[in-house]
Amino acid sequence: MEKAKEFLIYLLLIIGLIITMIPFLWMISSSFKDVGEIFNYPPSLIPHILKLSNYIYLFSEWGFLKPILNSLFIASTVTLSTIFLSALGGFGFAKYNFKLRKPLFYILIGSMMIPLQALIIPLFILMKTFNWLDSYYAVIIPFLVNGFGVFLMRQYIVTIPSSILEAARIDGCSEFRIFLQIILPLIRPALGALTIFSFMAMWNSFLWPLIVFQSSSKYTIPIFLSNLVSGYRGNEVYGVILAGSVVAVIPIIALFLAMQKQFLSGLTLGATKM
Amino acid sequence: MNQIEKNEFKSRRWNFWNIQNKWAPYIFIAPFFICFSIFLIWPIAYAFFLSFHSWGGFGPLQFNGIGNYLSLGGDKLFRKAAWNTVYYTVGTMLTVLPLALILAMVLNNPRRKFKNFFRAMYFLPSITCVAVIAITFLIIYNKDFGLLNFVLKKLGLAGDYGWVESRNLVKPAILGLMLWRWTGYNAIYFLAGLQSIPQELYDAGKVDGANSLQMFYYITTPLLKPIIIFVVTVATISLLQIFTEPYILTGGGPANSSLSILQLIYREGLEFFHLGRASALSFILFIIIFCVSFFQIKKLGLWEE
Repeated sequence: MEKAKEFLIYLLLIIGLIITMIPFLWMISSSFKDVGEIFNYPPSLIPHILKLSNYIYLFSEWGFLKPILNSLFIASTVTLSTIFLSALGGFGFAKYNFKLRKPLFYILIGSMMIPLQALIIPLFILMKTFNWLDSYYAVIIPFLVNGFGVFLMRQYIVTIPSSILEAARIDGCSEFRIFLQIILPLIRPALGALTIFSFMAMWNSFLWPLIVFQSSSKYTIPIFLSNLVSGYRGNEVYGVILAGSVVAVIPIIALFLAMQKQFLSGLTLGATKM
Repeated sequence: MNQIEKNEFKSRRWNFWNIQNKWAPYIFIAPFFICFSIFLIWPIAYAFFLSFHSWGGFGPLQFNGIGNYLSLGGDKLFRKAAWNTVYYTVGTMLTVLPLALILAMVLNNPRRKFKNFFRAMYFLPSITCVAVIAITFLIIYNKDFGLLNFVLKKLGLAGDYGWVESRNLVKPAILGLMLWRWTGYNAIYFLAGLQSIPQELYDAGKVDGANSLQMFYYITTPLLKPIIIFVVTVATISLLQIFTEPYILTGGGPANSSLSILQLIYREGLEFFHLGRASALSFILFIIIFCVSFFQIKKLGLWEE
């Protein structure tokens, strides 16, 4: 009885696993299929003939290198700035006792309650006023630092004993050097978690780049691919789209599998520390 | 330089350090507050202001009072989008969260093998780009040659469902994508919560003769409450802002039966340039989400440092 129950549980876990993996497997296998075979009925999970033509077309005909570079540039700029400025702000809140700390901390927490997505209309008008529409500024500057990052860093930095900082101060270390040479090396795991969150969020973001980018030379990967779908270019383009999807998804999966531990601990830190 | 001057110099230098100490934290937190004021506070204020006007993007603003808000009440499209968004939110919560909790409880068993492997694999869908995944699902959901209908046919069902073409099926199809994407993600949170419950409580329960249902009700649920609040509010906040899934799968159709609130805002504001009306919608959505977040942060005691 107990054995049968265990067997059933593993069976269900494996069925669930198959359902979870099928879209990925199907996406990868179809990206190597001939265009005709993608729409074959019945669908095949393993291509009859393995073909690289979709990937070759993707880069040669459709110029997919540009969206990749755009996505990489935007995601890495925002990530670098977010981790640096969040750590700096987190340090300010965690290790100083200044007059306005309490009210400003409440504002910091309040800022996490504001949904950016709901504010696309006024933000769009603001970008228009700044003349930032269709420029990289629009997808970088508003995201340089956010409340969640500062809060997360603050939670980590609070646990560092203040005596280390006092010792450095007595040795004549300036406040900014304390941050650079003492705090930053000590919070490396937290920086790792924030790096993945931030990179992933920017790499995957869709709505905002969709709104601000008009010329195709600025498109990021998701915008480029969704544009191919809605362009009514016929079924031929689906092989290329799937190849592009694989290129978009695989680096993130690889990043996750490589930094799984940091990622998952960072993820639940916010929830369990509250 | 005589002694007095030297002392004065010293004390000034000391003062300088003191000032630096005093101002350092303000300088450190300044980038955040600058970014916050320009890109969050100003848009909120501006949306509020604009929601009382009608404006087409150029020319003078026309004051409209609460006309934009009033007109929404009788607007069929707004009601439809609101209903769809509630459907997505409640529907996802009622399917994803129970399944995630079951998955977490199954994986929480200390004898379970390959626990970390299952956990990581089930989590994978949530980190992928939603736009890209929606495109893949678009092909999987295809009526004539999609994988889903093929599998259903193999299982002996009709297998000719127009998942994204039919008014009745399009919302469940989007829920299916949600279920696929978010079950593993939420299971991670439940698992973290379950792992923090000491095993002794269950042992004590067993001694007292409680069955597993009673133990779930009297031990697991109350101790899991903070995680449940966290997961439910996070899900509500993100689902109220659903956009990409219906945008890519259906564009909001057929006959607006999958249109979400955020899609309506996008349409009103950026396609029709009814900026006042779109701002009123934005402001309503903002207030609702802000309230949910406020509840979350208050309940979870985030205010306490």
